[in-house]
Amino acid sequence: MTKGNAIAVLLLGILVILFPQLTTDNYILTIAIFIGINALVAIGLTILMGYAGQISLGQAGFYGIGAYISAILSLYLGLPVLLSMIIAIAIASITAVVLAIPSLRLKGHYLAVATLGFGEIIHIILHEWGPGGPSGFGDIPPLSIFGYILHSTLEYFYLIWLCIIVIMIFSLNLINSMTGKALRAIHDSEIASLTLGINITKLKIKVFVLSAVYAALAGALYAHYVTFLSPSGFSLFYSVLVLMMVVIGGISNIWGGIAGALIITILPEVLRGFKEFDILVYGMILTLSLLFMRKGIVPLIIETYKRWISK
Amino acid sequence: MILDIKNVSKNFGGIKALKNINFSVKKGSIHALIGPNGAGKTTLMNIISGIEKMDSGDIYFKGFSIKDKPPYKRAEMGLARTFQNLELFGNLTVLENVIVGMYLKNQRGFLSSGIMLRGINREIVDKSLSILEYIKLSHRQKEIAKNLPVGEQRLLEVGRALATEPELILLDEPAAGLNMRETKNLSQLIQKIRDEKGITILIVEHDMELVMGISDLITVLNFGEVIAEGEPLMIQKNPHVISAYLGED
Repeated sequence: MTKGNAIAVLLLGILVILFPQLTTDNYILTIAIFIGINALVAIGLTILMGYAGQISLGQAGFYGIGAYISAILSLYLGLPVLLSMIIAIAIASITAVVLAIPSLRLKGHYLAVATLGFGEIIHIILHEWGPGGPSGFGDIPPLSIFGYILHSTLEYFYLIWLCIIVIMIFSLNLINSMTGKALRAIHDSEIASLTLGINITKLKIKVFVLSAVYAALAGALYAHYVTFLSPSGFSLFYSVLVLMMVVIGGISNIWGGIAGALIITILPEVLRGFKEFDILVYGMILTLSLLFMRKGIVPLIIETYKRWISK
Repeated sequence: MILDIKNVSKNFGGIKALKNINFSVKKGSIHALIGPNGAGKTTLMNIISGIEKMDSGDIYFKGFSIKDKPPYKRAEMGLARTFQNLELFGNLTVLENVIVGMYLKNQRGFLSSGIMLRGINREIVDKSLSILEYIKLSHRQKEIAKNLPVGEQRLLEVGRALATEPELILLDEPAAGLNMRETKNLSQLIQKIRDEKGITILIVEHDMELVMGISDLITVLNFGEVIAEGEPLMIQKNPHVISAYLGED
């Protein structure tokens, strides 16, 4: 990890610890939890798009697999929640491998098309065969870690943001490693990377699996936090929303995933005041920010800061 | 022999780019591949490095057939190359370009990369710096590769290839776009690589002074066929070669 990133992680940690001191409002903590859950999915997609140059339109599928499988295993088979989550994440990653091998062996954006179909298939399966069908099911056991059951919003807030800090450290290390350098190299020249001995297809598959693992983890956390699931939250719309977070946050920097999740999650809440015009304003903000901040917010902030420093 | 090209043929649509090419590269030699434009030299380089597939024939590297091996496996075996149309990692720094060249000998899994706090260790950085010193690009280490002048970009491609610790380097027109002084430095570098590191060189080049000055053996291609092979002095006097370059009379 570079120095700048280490400081940023530290600051994030301090912010997470202090945040509940600033507010005890459960509504705000709940939104912070949803920002965290969305950020997990978005960080994975940022790495996939920014570092492997691939687009996935099916992150909702992995998010759904993580949520549903973990919920079903713990609710109907009585498995411990932690074990259910691990199994759910494992199943999501196996699914990702199966999906990636044929589509990443081809050149071009076949993964985008394959994941689009995959996401829809998962959504239909949840809709038709998931417990409760389209209306969903509840009574999912809350998260428990080695016998300790999490109850309060505050506990979930800490747990989810701890997950994010761990995942950020892992991801930043990865990007700063030889593997990360190789990923950036692939972005610039696939041919040269191949002749240097880099197995491009294998690396791309691994990054895709990583993004699926992050999404499935987020889904499982969501299921045990909300304790109620219905298929509507796992449609193409969610995949596009995550894509939006990544683009607005900035695909070239994984902090963009968190920034994008923050903005996209808060925006509808802030726009409540506009009543029936909220969708209109929402759309306008997104369009304008794409027009004027092509690179995304985080890279823009870093560039502005660097320019300011050098003056 | 480190490289054996056996009956290699390649068609693009109806055009026969390569017809039954046969030649061998001796270990430790500087071997040049020359010929007029469109003779099929770059196609052959791409086939040897695995970027393009041949239609028929076979290629043996260190005695093993590499016909069915993907490019990254050939690199693992000790085959490296540079590109005529520069394929540097443009957005990476000069130093990072060389570091990526060391990937082959220093790759790690995702898990250990994510857990490791140190990232790329000092040893890799030091080795990369010494390669930059070897190709005389140390002063440029922090620059973004795409901002370098063409001459230095070509050198960096050689450095990156060296970082893979190869046994054979394919140089595809390394002197294109270089001025006289740069070309002279390049020819010294190529000889140094062979003499000091014992790396075999197969070079495609149009600069005849360079080719004649450093090559042990020259193979001449014309319209996808080998028309001559021999030492520089013999090639210069060969009537087939002269007519291929100057046109029949």
